[in-house]
Amino acid sequence: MAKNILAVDDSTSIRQMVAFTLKSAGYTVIEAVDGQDGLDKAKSQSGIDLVLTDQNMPRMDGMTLIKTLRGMPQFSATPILMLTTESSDEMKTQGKAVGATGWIVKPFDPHKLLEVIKKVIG
Amino acid sequence: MKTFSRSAVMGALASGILLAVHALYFGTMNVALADALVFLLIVACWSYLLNQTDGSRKLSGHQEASASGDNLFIQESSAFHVQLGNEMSDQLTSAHTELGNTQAILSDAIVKLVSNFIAISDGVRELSKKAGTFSKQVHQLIENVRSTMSASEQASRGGAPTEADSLAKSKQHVKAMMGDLIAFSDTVAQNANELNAIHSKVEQNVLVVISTLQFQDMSSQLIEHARMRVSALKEITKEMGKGGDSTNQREYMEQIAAYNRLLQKHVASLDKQKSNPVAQKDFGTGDIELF
Repeated sequence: MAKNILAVDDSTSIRQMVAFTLKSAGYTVIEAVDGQDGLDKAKSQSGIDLVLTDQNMPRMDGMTLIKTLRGMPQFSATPILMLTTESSDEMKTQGKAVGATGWIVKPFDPHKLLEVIKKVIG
Repeated sequence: MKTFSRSAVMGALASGILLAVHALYFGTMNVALADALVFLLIVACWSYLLNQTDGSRKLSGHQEASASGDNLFIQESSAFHVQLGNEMSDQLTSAHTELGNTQAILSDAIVKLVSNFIAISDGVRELSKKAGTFSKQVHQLIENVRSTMSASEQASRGGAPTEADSLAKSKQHVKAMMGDLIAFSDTVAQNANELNAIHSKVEQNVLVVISTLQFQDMSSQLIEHARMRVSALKEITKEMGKGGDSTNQREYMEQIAAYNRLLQKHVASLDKQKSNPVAQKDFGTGDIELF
């Protein structure tokens, strides 16, 4: 059975690219337009195996989304990857502190993205 | 001034007449000399006083002119600030709008481009799938014909010679047809394989395109940051454009201080915002770190 990935990004083109990459590899992709939408979809959809989120988004940023999801029992152990243009160590440390599983700096290489996801959720 | 000079001349004349009368009364040379000296002294005093008064009036006039010059400078400087503020505000508003339009156009173009690449990839994938299915169907058809032929052969054994002859001819005909079908099947299978290879290549290329087209996301963020800064400057210049009606140095300085406070407020606000999140300088893909 295909694994479900929640992809959260306010950029339409990035969502398209992420969805195409993941769907090509056989994953089912649920798209969300910002952190708040991501949180709503995470609450309403069951069986999400991985969350892939951007950091800088309107309404709710990636860090807040991760922090909120980690507070929900069903997402306490779900892998959450940050996919962002932010590359500073300070931000990465903050991400780690709020519960991110990993940090991917944009622009992403589709093959490497798939490798990491495979490593994390199989 | 004129009245004062006239009084001085009259005073000097009166003193001269009195001293002359005094000298004539005593009628001595010494007294006349002393009176002449006193007269000269009086004239010198009047001249000194006249000069002093004239100098003081000149200084007062100069100070008045200087104060009037300062006010003119403040008014002109204030007017220049208003003009500069309005002009800069207009230009920054245009720049803000143009940046927004650039962002929208770029985003729209990239979204369409990505959609088209994905559609091409999906199309080729679908075509490859269909070709594969068609190849399998042809293969199955050949197998069906083969088994039908085999069954007919079995059934014809033991029949009349004329029937056997007719069957042999049919068999030859079917065999020829089978040869054509097998050749067709091979061609279809080859095409299906080629399409599959093309699909893989297209998908690989789309994945490479995906890495490159992410520049839009980064440029979009850079544009948004630039817009934020332009917006802050626009507000400051707009405030300058409203101007102030300061007519003296104190009010003028207060107005400058107000601009400065507004500038500091915006600088602080911009500093509070996260630093620019895009530090990438090329299209090399970013790092991946698992915690």
